[in-house]
Amino acid sequence: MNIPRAQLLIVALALAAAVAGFVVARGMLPAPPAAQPELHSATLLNAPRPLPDFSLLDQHGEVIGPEVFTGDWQLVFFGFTNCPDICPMTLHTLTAVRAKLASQGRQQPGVVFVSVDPERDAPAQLADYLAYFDTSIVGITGDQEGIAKFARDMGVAVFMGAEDDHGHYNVDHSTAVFLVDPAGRLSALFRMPHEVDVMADEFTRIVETRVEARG
Amino acid sequence: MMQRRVLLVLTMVAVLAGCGMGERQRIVIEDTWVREAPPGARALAGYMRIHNHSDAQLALLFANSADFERVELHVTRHDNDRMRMEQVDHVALLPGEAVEFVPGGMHLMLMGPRRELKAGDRVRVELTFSDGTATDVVFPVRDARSSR
Repeated sequence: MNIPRAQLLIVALALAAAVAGFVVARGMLPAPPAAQPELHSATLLNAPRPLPDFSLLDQHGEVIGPEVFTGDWQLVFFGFTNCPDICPMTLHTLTAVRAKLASQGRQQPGVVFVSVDPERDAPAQLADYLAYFDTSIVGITGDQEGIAKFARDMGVAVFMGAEDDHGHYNVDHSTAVFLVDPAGRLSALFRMPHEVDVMADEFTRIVETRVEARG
Repeated sequence: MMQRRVLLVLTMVAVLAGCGMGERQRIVIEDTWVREAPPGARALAGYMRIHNHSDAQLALLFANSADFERVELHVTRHDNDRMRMEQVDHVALLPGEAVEFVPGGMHLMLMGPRRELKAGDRVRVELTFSDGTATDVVFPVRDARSSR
């Protein structure tokens, strides 16, 4: 065989370029996503979604915005203080998830409770209510419009029930627990039923996956 | 002594009541409890199990308590991720079966507490059934915070 030298050189250069390109690309591109953890209760978002801007009140009457979600992982739940069944049940579960992770020396998320009935859940009411479960829980209330927009932006549908003769009404809301990452991005959600052991394990696995994906 | 007399009267009442009833209680209610409310909450939830030991279909129609302004029968329904609390006008009790009132499902919605209720307190609830009978049931108040 008699291949001209020039042709050989071109092939060699092309090969070298391909190898170099591959090496450079490996360094520049983000690492391939770590294997998705097997999750039963949680649904991971393919791409974490930044939370919208908002200005609402915490349970101490202080104005708060999206910065409340930065720094730590947070479990976010929507509810209202006059909801006697699901809301206390879920808040018990979330505080138990924290306690379980703490007892095992694992990273714990914070808990944020957003009132979907801000007209009745004034900051002081929310403060007493939340302290019953865990003084570290952050409560969010404010004006009905601001809460409705925040809920919508999180993908939570809120339906105000009609008031009955006794002035009582219900607020239908999502029972999902949202997981927000330390960059303030919606990362996953946990659907019912919320079981302490499952949520604690899946929280840890999600955190580990995200750390691997970044490293 | 006074105490003895009370005991005697109670025994007689029990015997008389026993004579009036069939060999077996038609409706048996157990595992009653009310979730202690966090401060400020104006609604509490009550849970129990109702067995219908009779051959007839019965229904729970009403619940009343002197400790609350109003008591309703509620069920928490989940449609996808949306939670809805619905009032029901009766709870069917099929013959030979039991109905569970549990967190996240059927519950007594106890509204407007007339006194502060703490874990260890007892709430009396009168339950009225479709056969015209009414039963006074005691619901202990329990602190359901699982982590303590």
